Amino acid sequence: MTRTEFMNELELLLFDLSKNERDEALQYYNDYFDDAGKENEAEILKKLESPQKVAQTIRSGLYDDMDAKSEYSETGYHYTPFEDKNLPSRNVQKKPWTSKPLKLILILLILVVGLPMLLPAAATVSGIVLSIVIALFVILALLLGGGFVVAGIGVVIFVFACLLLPGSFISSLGLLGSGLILIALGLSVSVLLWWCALKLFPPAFRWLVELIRKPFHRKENRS
Amino acid sequence: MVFNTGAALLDAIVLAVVSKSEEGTYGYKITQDVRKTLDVSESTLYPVLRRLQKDECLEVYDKQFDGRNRRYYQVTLKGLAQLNFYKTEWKNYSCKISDLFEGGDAL
Repeated sequence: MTRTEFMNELELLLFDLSKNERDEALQYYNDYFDDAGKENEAEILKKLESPQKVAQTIRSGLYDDMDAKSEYSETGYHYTPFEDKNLPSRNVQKKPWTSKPLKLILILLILVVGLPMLLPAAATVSGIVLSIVIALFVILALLLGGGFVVAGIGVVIFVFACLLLPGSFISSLGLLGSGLILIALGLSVSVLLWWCALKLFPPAFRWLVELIRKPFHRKENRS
Repeated sequence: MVFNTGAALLDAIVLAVVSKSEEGTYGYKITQDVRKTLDVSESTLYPVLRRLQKDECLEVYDKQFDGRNRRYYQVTLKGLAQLNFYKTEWKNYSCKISDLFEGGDAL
């Protein structure tokens, strides 16, 4: 790792410090490298071990006593072990200010304002979705049925052709052929569609149910 | 290093080192000088210097050197007072221990 890489990574690792603290620390170490001179750069990099270690040292130096066992406190150096320790908390709160009640109020407001708009919108959306689903069902049913209908027509033609057979051989043969073809077509289309339906329907249905259930699940989890 | 150097002792040592120069010294030099007395790592001293600065025992100023800014640390009056306090405490502390280690039968 080069000095620049080291310092860049250190800068990133000190993200949670205030800008002032971060700048101070980075300036100190940049000065350190400069004063040590280029010839000592590698050695110092080795002695600093890693940007993580340096960041940790800086952080612990800022937030708590470097040596928890020492008797050094803000009020000075206390040596007597029998003295009542009245150590004020040195924890610097770096968390951004947040408050639970405020959050609750905001959520409530959003719901109150949003719900009147949300409900009709949700109703419309679900209405549209439902109609699409029904349409798809109908189409599928027609196709499935249609396949059989075609096959049925084929059967009829076949039978008709059989009846005509004694009369005019060639034309009835032609009719026979077309009848058979129709039967074949109709049946294969039906079988294909049925197979598709069986394979696709259950997952599609399940997905739809999940979709509908999702908003309810989320609300359950929050509370 | 057999004995752990607490934060207070470290503060005292740093203050003593910095106070040796009337016009103050800079980070790298401070580290070198402290290392003559105590084996500290390169990164140990920054938090100490920072804390002493915040406690107003040290003050900083920048001075041009070799075409760049160099940050110098200097002991304040409060820092000197603190250092004197530490020196007295240390004398007490170390004398008692020395007495125990070197003393005769009478305690």
